[in-house]
Amino acid sequence: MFRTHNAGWGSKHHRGWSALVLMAVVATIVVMPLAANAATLTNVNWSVSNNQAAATNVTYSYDFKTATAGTIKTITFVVSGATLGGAPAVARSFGIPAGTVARVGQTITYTVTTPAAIAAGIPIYLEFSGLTNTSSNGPQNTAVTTQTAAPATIDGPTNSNNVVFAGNNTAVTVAVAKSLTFTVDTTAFELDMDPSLPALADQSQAVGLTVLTNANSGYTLAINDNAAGLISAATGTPVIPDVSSGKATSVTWPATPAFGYTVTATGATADVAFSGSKYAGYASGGDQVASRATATGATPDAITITNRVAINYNTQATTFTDTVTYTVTPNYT
Amino acid sequence: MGSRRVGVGIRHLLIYSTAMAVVLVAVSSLGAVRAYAAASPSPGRSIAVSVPPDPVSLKPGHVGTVQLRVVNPGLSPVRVKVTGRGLILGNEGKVTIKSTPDPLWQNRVNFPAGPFTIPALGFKNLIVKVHTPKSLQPDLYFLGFVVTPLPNASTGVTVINQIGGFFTIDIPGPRDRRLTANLEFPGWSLLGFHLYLGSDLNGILHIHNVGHAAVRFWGETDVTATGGSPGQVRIPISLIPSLRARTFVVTAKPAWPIGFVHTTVRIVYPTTTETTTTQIVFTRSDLIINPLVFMVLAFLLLVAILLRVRQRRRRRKALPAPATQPRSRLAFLAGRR
Repeated sequence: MFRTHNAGWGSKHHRGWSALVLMAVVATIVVMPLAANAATLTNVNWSVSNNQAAATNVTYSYDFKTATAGTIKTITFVVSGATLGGAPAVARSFGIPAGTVARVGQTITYTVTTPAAIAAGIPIYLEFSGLTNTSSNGPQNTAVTTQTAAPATIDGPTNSNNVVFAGNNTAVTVAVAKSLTFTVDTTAFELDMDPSLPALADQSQAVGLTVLTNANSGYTLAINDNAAGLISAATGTPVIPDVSSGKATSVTWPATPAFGYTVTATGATADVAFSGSKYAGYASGGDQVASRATATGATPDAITITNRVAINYNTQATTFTDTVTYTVTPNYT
Repeated sequence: MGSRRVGVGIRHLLIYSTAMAVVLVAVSSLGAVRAYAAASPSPGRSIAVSVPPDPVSLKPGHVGTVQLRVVNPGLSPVRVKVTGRGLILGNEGKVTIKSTPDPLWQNRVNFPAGPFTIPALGFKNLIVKVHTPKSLQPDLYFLGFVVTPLPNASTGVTVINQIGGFFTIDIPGPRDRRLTANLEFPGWSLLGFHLYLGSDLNGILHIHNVGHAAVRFWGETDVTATGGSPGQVRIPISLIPSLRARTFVVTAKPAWPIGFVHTTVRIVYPTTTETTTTQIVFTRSDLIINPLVFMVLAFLLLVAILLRVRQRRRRRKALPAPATQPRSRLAFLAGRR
């Protein structure tokens, strides 16, 4: 009886302690994110597009990594010093959902429209344009803080690196133009042909093109020629007919008199119409024959247009001419 | 003796010279009737065109200038002319230059009168004057042109390397920006559960501009894989004109041959103004199984079966022959002997 009573008392006593411990653990878990987890953001970096004091239309870029998992509603950027100005716009944001930016005094606040859980160690990048620098010279930094909707601090405030603003410095802006270089190794060619010998009756001339561009989405190469094609000014204006009406009807080289071209490319992608050494006739309206979807980098793309002419004794003995135009156009990015 | 040798040498020289002259005359006369095969390409030509990297902001009804640069990286001078042209903006960033000027800008964009001679390894900055119509809505406008080298007189086939280009005018103000997107992943889906057999899960993200204004957007793909660290692949700022589309490849890779991969694809773009952005988000989880896993499993199963068979054989050999078993034929024959 005693034992039972004692055991019962002990059990109750233990249960009570267990409950207390459980409550303490729960309380710790609940309280911890609010107090102990306001950790330091890592790699907080701040850069500006122009560090002249009081310069307008400046872009501020911030990148950092979250230290604590949480649902971020706002990120505040408190810039030290005074007279920060401008109406900021969101130029880019990565690692954080879409939101709105506003500035009040020295504080830029990015407010997430629909907050979502963000894990620890996620890189966040935010770029705000349209700001006016502080008018005071000297080093400044930005204190970055992430907060929940409560609001409760998740990480920070963590100070960024210093950016030195000065009125007597030299602002350096390097603007790299969107550029495209197009080279042709042959600006004109003449094929001296004779129907009496197969080697003289069917000849080719390769035209090498090279393209260099920093357009991120690459470029397209189109080809067209005179509406009349390979034509002579002699009586009756004889022509050497096109091998086909364009790339859509490309063919393997026929035996009959014909004028056409085929395309091979390194770096760029030649149109499938020319696979299997197929030839097409030049179209006056133009055909896109090669393209690339990225910038070339420093190595030029090489595109070879092999022009081919075949004649026989039906072809009038005279001089035929044509003008072939290769047009390279950068894609929009 | 010496003088005789010199005389012989001179005679040989004369013979060779005469022979060479005959050959040259023959060749040149053949050339005149084009009876021999000889391609006669003329030297190459190189040009480059540069435009401002960012849109030039201009208010409606205002006049602004845009600087183009024509560069001659070649070693001989090039004569060029610049002509305004209309553009067709296609999907995936493609631009097609029309053969005629854009009717909207035809009398409103003044390209400098040419032609211009660009010296070897030189360049020329050209100032283009743009008069924006008063009625223009806030948007990005693309103004096209071609820079055409003027060919030298030649017979046969003349080759022209022409560069088409465009610059962008931004008419500031709130605008109607709207995007839609869809994400396609390979594999099987059943009741929200996605399974893919392969090493990398490559999805296709299609983004369409359904608004009236061009949109500059950016985005990212966040991948969390079982047992791996989270990854973030960024989609750089890209442009979609109204009613056009762009496609991106989205890749998710598990940390192990078998694993769950949680993918979040986010497309972000400004709303009517640049102060606020909006987003399109796709989230999904896939179980990715590398086919190698099946091969390894099949191999292990085969090994297990072989071991089992071997074990059985050994066990059978180790067992003593039962008494009731009939004697072997050899033993029977030995018994008879």
